[in-house]
Amino acid sequence: MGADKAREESDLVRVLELTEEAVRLKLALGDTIREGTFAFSRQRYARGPHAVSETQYDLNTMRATTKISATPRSIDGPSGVSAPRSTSYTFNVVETPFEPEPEPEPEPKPAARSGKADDDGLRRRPKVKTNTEKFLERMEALGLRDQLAEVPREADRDDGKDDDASPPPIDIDAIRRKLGPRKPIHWFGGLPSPEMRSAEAAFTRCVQLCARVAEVESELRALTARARVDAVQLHEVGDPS
Amino acid sequence: MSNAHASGLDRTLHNLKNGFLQGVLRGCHRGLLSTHDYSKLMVCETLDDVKTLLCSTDYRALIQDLPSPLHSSTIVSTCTQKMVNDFNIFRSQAGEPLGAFLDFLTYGYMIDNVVLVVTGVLHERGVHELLQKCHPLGSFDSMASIAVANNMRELYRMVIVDTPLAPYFSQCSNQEDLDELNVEIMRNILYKAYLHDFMKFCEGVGGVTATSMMDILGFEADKRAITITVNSLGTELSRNDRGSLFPELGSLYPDGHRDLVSCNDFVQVQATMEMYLSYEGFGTGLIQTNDKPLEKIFSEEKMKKCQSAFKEQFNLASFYAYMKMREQELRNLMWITECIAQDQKHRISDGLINVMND
Repeated sequence: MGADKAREESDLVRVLELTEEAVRLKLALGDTIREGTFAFSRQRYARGPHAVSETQYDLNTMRATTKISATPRSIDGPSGVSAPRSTSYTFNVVETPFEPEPEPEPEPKPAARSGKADDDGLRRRPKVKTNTEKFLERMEALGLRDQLAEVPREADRDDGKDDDASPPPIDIDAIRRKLGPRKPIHWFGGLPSPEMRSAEAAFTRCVQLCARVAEVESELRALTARARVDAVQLHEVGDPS
Repeated sequence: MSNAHASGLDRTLHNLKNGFLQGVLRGCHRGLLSTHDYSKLMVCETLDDVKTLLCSTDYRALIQDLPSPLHSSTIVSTCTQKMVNDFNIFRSQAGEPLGAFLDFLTYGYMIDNVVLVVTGVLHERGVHELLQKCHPLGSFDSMASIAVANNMRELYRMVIVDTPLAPYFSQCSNQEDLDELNVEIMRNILYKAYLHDFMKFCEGVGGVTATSMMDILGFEADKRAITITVNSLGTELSRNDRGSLFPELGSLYPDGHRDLVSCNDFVQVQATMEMYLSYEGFGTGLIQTNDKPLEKIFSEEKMKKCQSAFKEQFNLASFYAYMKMREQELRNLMWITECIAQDQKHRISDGLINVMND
């Protein structure tokens, strides 16, 4: 009985500490978000009102490489049986490495093509299948298809130009396979300014703070759930019937 | 003919050709926001208060019908039209060489617009949406065709060849992959060629115009060299590529450029700046902080040069100076409205730069 009382008291102290930490973390999260947003304002001040806007978002390579892994930690009840919803979690921010997709086999060159040198210096690219159709299907599933500009397909162009005479169009998919998913900071320019780097640092801290807040709140929930179960059990034991 | 007599003749001839527009210019200059206006803007609580205050300035005709809810970008885009209207007044009545000089002012905006549309098309954005974001002073007829071009050669043939940027674009023809870094390289190469061309034109005009513009464009070149260096730290841009983007003008050329190319961190960049830059506003111990970022330091110095150029008489540089002052005023408005929108009014003075020097 004395041991249970001591454990209850320590749980209560822990709950108070966690509550204080949760409030502190949430305030820090709000400040960090404000700091990152203000860094965007400094970038707009330096480069113009459209320097940071949704027009720079790259919908094609937007892929989440920063993830949060949740590892459960169970908190057992006094009878040794786990109380419902008494599992706490540890959240860790994980950077998943980029795994480049293998390049598809290039189609064999047609016999009609001669060894004519490309005199404008642009390297000839092997014809490869693009992922445009897959991308369009994905956008349709998300309901964003109508936001895409209609890009004239190669087959639809009827300008009478001989494709062999001009270099083939730039294969955006091949470029993206080579480069991998770009960090979001590069959507706004290839040479990021100090303001954008400061925004990136702030929002990276935000992700870590979110993980920490979730961890604290999960432990709070677990402790409160255990305290509720203990109270119910104590009531049952103390019931004369 | 003595030099004094020759310069007096130049001044008379200048007034004969450009006297009326100089008068209009001085009148427009009086319409810039004063220190008193900024102090009233700094105490505004909401963007509607900003709009009310701007209705008592030269922006009244443009901003009074702006509907709520207001956004900072909307206010600034609307006020930008004032700058465009002033420019159109000057351009429509300008003779030569003032007309060609004013055209040079628009080429920088054209370069930014081309890069904006190319980047947006790469990110699968709609052309109509992108054209709305373009700066009006840099608009040209075939801008919408940028989206149709599939590679750099088509971009040049279909769009750029009929624009004044054509001579500058020939240096970019070897760029193949249109990723963000190469687009940024393209922008800097275009701007470098533009600065050289503008400087050459001003030297041809001669007189006070050449003297003032050499000072201003030299400073612009120094600023770009330092900005490129700072922004390229920690990126894939090689040192050779970095050096090739620096305009060959200004106090830093050529020794400072050599040092900047080899810089690996901001401390080395600062050391190079202190060694080679002797501008009035740059003292020793130049340190970038959150309260005084590098951009603000450069903008303050640029405003000082523009104010000096504006005080000179009988020259074309005063038109350039006015347009840059108006541009800085729009930046100030952007800063103030962003601070108010984000409830950071205590930071308004961090980014505010005095334009009028009153």
